[in-house]
Amino acid sequence: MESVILLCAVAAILMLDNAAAFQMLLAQPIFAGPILGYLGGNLELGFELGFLLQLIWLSSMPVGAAIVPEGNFGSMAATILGIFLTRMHPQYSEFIVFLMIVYGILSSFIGTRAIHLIRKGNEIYLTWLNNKLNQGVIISLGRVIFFSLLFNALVVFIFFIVLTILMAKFFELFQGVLIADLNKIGVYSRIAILGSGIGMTATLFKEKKWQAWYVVGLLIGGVTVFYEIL
Amino acid sequence: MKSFKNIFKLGTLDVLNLLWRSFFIQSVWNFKSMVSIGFCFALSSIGRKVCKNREDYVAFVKRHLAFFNAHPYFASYAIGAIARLEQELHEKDGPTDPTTIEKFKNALISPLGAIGDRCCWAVIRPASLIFGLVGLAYIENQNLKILYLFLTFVLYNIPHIYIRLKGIIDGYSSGFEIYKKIKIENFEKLLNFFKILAIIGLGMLISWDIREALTHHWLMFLLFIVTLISSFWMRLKKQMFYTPVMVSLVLAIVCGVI
Repeated sequence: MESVILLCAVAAILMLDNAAAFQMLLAQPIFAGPILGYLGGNLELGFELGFLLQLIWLSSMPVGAAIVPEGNFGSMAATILGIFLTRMHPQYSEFIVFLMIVYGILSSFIGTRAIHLIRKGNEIYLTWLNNKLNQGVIISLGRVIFFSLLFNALVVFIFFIVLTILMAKFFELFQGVLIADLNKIGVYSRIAILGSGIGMTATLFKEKKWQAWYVVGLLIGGVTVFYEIL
Repeated sequence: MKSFKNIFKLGTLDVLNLLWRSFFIQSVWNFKSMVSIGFCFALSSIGRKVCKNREDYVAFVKRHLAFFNAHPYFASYAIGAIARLEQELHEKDGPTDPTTIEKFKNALISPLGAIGDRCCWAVIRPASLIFGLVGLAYIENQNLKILYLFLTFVLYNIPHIYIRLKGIIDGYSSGFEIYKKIKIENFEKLLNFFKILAIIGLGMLISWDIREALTHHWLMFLLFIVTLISSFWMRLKKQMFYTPVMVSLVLAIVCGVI
């Protein structure tokens, strides 16, 4: 349980990088996955979930002020739960990957609610600042930023903890029903996500004048794979 | 031509201070005024310097707490330009008045948002992440994977910090003229580099996935090709991301059960 709390706390801090501060990519699954995996003692799973979940979100763009499913939130929630479940039930490790992909997508919608709540909450600061200014009182904006980031991290932390505990309990309900054969679904889902992720991402780079570079990439990849086989 | 002194009324420390503060522009994002609190926080160091008295500073803060939105990286162009205009307003050496500053700030919202989305979210970020994914796919050793992720981090953050820094400096040196520099053509070379990187990366990922699929089972290869094509097609038809992903997962379940 302590490690889940630690992972949720680190994930809440990493989530600040999602939009609230810096935005240096650390909240992206490809980085957050291995960081959480390392701290949770399962770096390999962190890399794997980070890789697969990154592919899912790669083509989703937050245009303007639009609210989109919070892929980074969903990915971190899935990595935390995945690490926890794999530790408890290593016999379903492949099937857990499949479950975490589904859970990552579902929790991204919950993440949207969390972000909405935070942004609604931030309106309080604006009203308060304006009221104080009307009274001629100057508030340190640095302090407002600090408390807003703290509030942001706290809300996300609570969401992560509640989601992880609820989903772990939910998984326990299916203990008797699960069979090791389900792992096959996990193996196929990995390939399906690879195909789907690349297909969706390719729509971002579909201009005709660049298409020859796909051939270059395929050739470089092909030569590398061929070299490995040799 | 602007004199050197005019451009660098803003010292290196001031520029670095603005850069540091620009990282928090979205910290208090809210539905009423969007990034205004972060924007005001970024400018407040300049405000404290140029405002002559308390009332002046209160008016400055009120002015910049009004609605503002922009792409977080490209907002630095507005930060630089407004810093200069505020300086001119308080030093009375330009034709600036508070209403003009407010109108100018509002006029920057759309171009900054549009260019930011097109440059960063649509090209630089996905391209850098594809670069990272290629490394994770091809490299087996975990330590090398970590090193490669660090390279990915650097690859993305060089243009990221460059845009923020250039935005502040260009914004400050151009003032009202900054709109001339907020053009996608000015970032063409950078974007072309990242587009080529992304496309080569996608090609390499396809090669790697074909190898992965073929070494397991022919059904996997078929599943990969079907999900690749169907997801590409569905996304072209403006389907939300979850439709192709869900279709792919259902196909994976079917293949797993067979």
